[in-house]
Amino acid sequence: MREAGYEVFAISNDTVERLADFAEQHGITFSLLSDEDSTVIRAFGIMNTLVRPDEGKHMRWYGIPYPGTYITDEAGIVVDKDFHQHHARRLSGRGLLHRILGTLPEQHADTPKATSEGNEVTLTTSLVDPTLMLEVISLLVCRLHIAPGQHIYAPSAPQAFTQASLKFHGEGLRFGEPAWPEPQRLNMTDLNIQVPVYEGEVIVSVPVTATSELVRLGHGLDQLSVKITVACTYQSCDEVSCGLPTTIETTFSVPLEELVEPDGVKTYAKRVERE
Amino acid sequence: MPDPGYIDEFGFYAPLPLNRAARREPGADFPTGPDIGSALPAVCLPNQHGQLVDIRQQCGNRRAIVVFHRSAYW
Repeated sequence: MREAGYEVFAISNDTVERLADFAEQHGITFSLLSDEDSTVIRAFGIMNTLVRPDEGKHMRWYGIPYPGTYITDEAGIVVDKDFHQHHARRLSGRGLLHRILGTLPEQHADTPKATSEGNEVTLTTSLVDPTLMLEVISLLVCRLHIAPGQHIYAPSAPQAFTQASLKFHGEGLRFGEPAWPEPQRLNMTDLNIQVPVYEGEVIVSVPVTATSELVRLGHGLDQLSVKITVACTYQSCDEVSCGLPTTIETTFSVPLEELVEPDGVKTYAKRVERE
Repeated sequence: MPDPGYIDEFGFYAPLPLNRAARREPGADFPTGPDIGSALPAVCLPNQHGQLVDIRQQCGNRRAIVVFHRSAYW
């Protein structure tokens, strides 16, 4: 984040001592700020009022915030924020960068990916992060390379055409809505209509998250990786003719990774395992 | 398979019974603080080394990512 020009701060109602232990244990170098009496959390208006003052005193439950992230510009103006109704959900580091910068992060050698070739179209799928973690929202990137002179019909094309579509599958994964780019408009003079199509390269991103079906908080990993399958259905055409509707599929394996879990979570988990 | 008594309505498992305060999730209209376009409220708090950090001063001409989280302890 620093390379991208951002200073990172994390705020909680933990004591300085707890934050010091956590930072040392996990090698954290950015600022962990202690809002012990929740003054700042209240000033932001995000204190979790579902917790009563007498609940979880030892764990300091009272005074916690609804978790979320603010992005500011150089003048300290909030330019974006990311909050989720469920406390465990948050964007991955590279997912957050994508949201902030509006561009997909560069592919790294550690990027899990797969490619499949079909009729005039090649599908390459990859994950922006090297791993998936519980409830951390990553991005699956689907690149469709369409052969020169060919086009495929966008999902918004009339139903008379074979609309391009993507289907996603992974045991214990949750997929969000795919974000298709703005299509081009193809003039079909014979029919007197403009049809939304894609030519060249189309990049579609879709949020993907590991759920509790796959990873149980505090209990370690039952499996080390998960398979993601992406199926793309399309029809490619040139100016005079069309191929048959085609479905191509990629499958690739993504490593799972444990969250950085505070000690308290493991203590709770051991208690559950003894029950 | 996790004990259903520990899985909330979002399908999330945590090793805490659902009736504990930390397992309560807000409604969809929960507060998310300052609006986009407004100034981030002033923040001056001690860091993990016990040193006071003023976010605006620390940033200088840089942009900020400010994360509020539940706890580094549990």
